[in-house]
Amino acid sequence: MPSKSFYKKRLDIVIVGVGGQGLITFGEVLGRACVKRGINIRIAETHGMSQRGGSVEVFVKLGEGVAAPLIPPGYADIVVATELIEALRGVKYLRKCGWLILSDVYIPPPTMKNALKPGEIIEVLNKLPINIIQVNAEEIARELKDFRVVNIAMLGGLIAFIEHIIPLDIIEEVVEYRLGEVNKKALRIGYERTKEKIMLTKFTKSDNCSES
Amino acid sequence: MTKRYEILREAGSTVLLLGNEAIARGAIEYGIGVATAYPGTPSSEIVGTLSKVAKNLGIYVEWSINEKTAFEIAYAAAMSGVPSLTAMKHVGLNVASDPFMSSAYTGVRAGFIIVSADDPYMHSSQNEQDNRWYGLHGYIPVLEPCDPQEAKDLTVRGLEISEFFQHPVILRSVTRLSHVRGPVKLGEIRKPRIEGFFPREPSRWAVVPENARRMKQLILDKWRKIEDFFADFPHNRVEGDGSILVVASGVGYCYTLEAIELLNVKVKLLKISTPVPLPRKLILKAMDGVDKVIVVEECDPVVELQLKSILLDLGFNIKVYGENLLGRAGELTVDKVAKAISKVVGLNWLPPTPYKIPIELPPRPPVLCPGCPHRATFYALKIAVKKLKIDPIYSGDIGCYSLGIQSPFNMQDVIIEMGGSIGLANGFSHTVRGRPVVAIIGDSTFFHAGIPPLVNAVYNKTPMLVLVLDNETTAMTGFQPHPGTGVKADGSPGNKVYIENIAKAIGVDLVEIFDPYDVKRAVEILEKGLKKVVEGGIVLLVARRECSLNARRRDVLKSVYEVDRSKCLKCMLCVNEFACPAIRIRDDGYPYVVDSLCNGCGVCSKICPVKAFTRKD
Repeated sequence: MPSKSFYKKRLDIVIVGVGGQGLITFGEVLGRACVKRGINIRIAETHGMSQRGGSVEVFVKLGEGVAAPLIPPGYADIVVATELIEALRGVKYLRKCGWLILSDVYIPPPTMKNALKPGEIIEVLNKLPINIIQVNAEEIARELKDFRVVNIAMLGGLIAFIEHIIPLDIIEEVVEYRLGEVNKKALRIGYERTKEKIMLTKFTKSDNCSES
Repeated sequence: MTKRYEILREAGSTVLLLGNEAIARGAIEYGIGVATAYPGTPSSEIVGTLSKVAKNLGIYVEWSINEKTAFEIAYAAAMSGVPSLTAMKHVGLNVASDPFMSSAYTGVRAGFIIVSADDPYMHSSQNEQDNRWYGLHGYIPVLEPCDPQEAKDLTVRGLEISEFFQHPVILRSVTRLSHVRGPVKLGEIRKPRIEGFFPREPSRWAVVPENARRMKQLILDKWRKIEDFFADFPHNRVEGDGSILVVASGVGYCYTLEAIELLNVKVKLLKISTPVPLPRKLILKAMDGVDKVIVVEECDPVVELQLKSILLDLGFNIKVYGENLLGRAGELTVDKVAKAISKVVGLNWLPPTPYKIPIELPPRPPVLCPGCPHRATFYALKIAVKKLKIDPIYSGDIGCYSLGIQSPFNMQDVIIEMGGSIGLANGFSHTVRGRPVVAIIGDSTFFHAGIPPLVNAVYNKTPMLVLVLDNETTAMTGFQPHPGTGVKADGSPGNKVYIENIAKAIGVDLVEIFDPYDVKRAVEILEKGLKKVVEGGIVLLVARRECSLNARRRDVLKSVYEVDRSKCLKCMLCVNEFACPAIRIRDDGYPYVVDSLCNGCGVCSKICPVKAFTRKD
């Protein structure tokens, strides 16, 4: 189980994606669940101009003694990328052998010509000394006929990794109360499919990271 | 049934709050009666939060026309004995600086807290000014919290201090406080004080020279008392021991805590929550047994310079680090602080090397949203200008439409400050020959600071086209209402003020309104307006169309568009000249519409030369 390596005092998570994908909501839901569990947390986000379709980063730090709001490059235990190109930008935050939870959403910048294709992106990422698991959030969104649930499907994927800290039922309660039934479904599907991938070792584990 | 608001939860409970919400809660706990603001990132959620519960609490909360007016309203409330809060982004305090500088002279009768939310690294701002200078400049003490819990607590304490000294207080926030969420333990809510009285006492409130000279002496006396008070203020404290003293102010304290832990070094830590005025008695106490000092603060060396001056006065000859290792630009990080402290303690510490991706990543700057009416206006303006073969100066302003600076529009030649588009246009019009000036300004920005320079243009016969991009909201900061919307902060109806009526009343030569989604008519009116300006006229055109995000939310815009491949010529006009983020190119070279992004404005169908875009129903 990869989640064993997260039994530690603190957890640093960076969420990256594109403005409008609901990254702030992602962080807020996680934060509310933490407060319910009595876990200390800091979530740093940016509002305003950067939100208009630009690159967005949300920093989540949880655990005892957490004080500083930002996570510098090379420290994050987990990076959640809700978009493929942004995964390339966000991977700098990962520590060695950290986990990248990657979505299947691909949004090339509108004015960009010859953008890197999803397959090429995954190829580049596979060469790094990190562990990668993909959550097919767009597929889940398509099944549920609502593209706004991509973020919460990704959150489900994250929970599969950290349920020893935040159990699914606590986060489900928050999602249902804040965002309603469709999102709750997306959360559960994201969680279950990721869990299954972990069980079947359907993820990329770097050769340089054998210990966990 | 009244809705249950989390911000009003009972004392003793712990809730997740954004720094700005924590400030709002602090003000509620103190029992303020008035709160005012003009929205600006990263300050907007303070009054945004208060506006939602204003009716429940029976307090007065408003979105004011600009920061100066917001300041004056809260100031007058505190003069009349009603505790108040006014909030603004750092540059907003420049707008309010006139009453601000005199507020220390008169003082107040009830708690008056001025929240300044600074934006280090300029995530959403035009400069990186550190407003703690304003405290030194205006003789107004500055409190600087480190996290959401302290933001709430210091808002309450700040109002108490203000009321006790009968003096205004600044609460300085930064982006990484205002927009950080964390658990906050709530305190008791006192009954709001909403009714004031104002006995006639001009010797106290009128800063005519005779009064002001006397008041100046009183301020200097108060300033010393406030400094002494801060020496024993519980939010300033010494932690740990060692010969190296780290003085950390505001969010600097949080980064320092983690940096010390990371480095595993033993230092003495002086937490400062009152950077202005820096209490000298506390410094003296902290200096015991110290032979090196490093100051950690975000942006300018406001604490450092005061500290150096105090140490010189006290006769210490000690090396003080800070700015020389941390710089003055951008935000702090744990790594930056750890690196600086490691140098002072003589450690050779290096941060981890992050992974490098072997390819160059495409930048992803913010863009105008799909369906944004501003895109249609910029498109129409570009066509009108091309038709007339003119090369205008595009004097830009602060708002979503600042994004018109990007390709393919390139129509923001200068952007300085709120209302600057029209003010600068007044200048360019007198100095640059043969190029008409187009001032491009948003609806909320027009009300904020656009009216005086427009009156100036009319009075001085200064030709220009003022193009008001009216999307009927303050979109960039989170859709706050303004005078043009006719809706007040608490959602109740106010009086609607029409931009075109203002222009007509002051004597603008030509005033017209158009819908930017109607591209053909927009081009015609813009051409007419530009011609008039070339002839020496003053023209104001209102491009009026609801923000597409609001329209989508209200279900005014529905459906999406698609490309009819049997008609499409692959001319790429829609991609290259219109640049809607919802229109992409397939591998076979045909454009297509991304369903999940399209907001259904339909402007693509109007500009396509072969009408290849059709509505999908």
